[in-house]
Amino acid sequence: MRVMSVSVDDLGGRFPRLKQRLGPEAFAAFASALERRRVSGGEVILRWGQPNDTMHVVEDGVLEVSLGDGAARRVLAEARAGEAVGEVGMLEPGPASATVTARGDATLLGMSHAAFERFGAEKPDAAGAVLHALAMDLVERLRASGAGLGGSVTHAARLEEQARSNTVGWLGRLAKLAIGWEAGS
Amino acid sequence: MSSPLVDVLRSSPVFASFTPADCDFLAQAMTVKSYAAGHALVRQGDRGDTFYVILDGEVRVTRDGPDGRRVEVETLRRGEVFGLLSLIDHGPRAATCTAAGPVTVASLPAVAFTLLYKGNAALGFRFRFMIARQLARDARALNQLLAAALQGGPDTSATQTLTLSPDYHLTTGG
Repeated sequence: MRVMSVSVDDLGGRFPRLKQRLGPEAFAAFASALERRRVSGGEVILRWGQPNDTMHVVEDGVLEVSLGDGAARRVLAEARAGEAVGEVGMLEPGPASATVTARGDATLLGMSHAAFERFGAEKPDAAGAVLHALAMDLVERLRASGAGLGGSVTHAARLEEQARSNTVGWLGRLAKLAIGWEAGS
Repeated sequence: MSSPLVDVLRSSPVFASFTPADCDFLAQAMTVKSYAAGHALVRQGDRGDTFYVILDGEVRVTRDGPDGRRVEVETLRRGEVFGLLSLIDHGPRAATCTAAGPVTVASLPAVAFTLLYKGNAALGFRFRFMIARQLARDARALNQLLAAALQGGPDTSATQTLTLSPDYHLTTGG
């Protein structure tokens, strides 16, 4: 694993949608606060149930989001350039909801909870814009799942039944919940 | 500066990340009003544009399910908040919030929130961080429930209830 700082010029072209959402100034401030990291194929970025406090935006390569181990391992989604994993942990450190593994060599841009707090103290406007984008995205995902839950109080047993009867749909939904801050550029 | 509103903001866990100066600043942007028992402060399905903090009394949160049944979600008290999401997203309210008895609440319209963080970026950051962290906790609770359901774990069934509060504040428990 190697750590390097990020050139803003490199990033504007990679993440046009994010740049548009944040505006050029907030985007530049955010990009310069990210830490670039190269990982090798097979490396585990996040492990289900283990503490996480860092968001990783994929710059290059493919990450697999999965649940279960060994024969029970099930890949729920892929995160490609421009997509992020671990944003929930960056906002509120806690156990990861899925395992994330590099499929091949990949380059990630990371931001920890502590780094984000420093970023917010230095650039409150830019950090506020990033929070707004993240919050909007979480709201969308929660609303989408709320619709799936009947928008109501639901027993996990019913959830489980739905998951079994419509595995593909539910896998897709979970995948959307597990990743997908910024859908590709 | 001291007022019932400032006291509530300074002592509420919701605003734990706010400085005393933040609380004073926020208090100045809010309007305090009292309502009689039974008054619906927020109606499920309406477009939300106001955030509330309870200063006195209790607020009942209910949700009408697709089958038409009304479900009691929770009761909110002094220092608790509702309508947080309306500050960032003007989507439909997820539940109805009714005064359980006489209540006093402080309200902040979304427009005032925007002015607030444009005039005080540091407070705007802490406020939006607070909202995003609440959403992150909700997302994690939902993710974990979905993951458990997908893996068919024996502990996931029946004993756990997933509750979506007015702000999709998810709690798992009996």
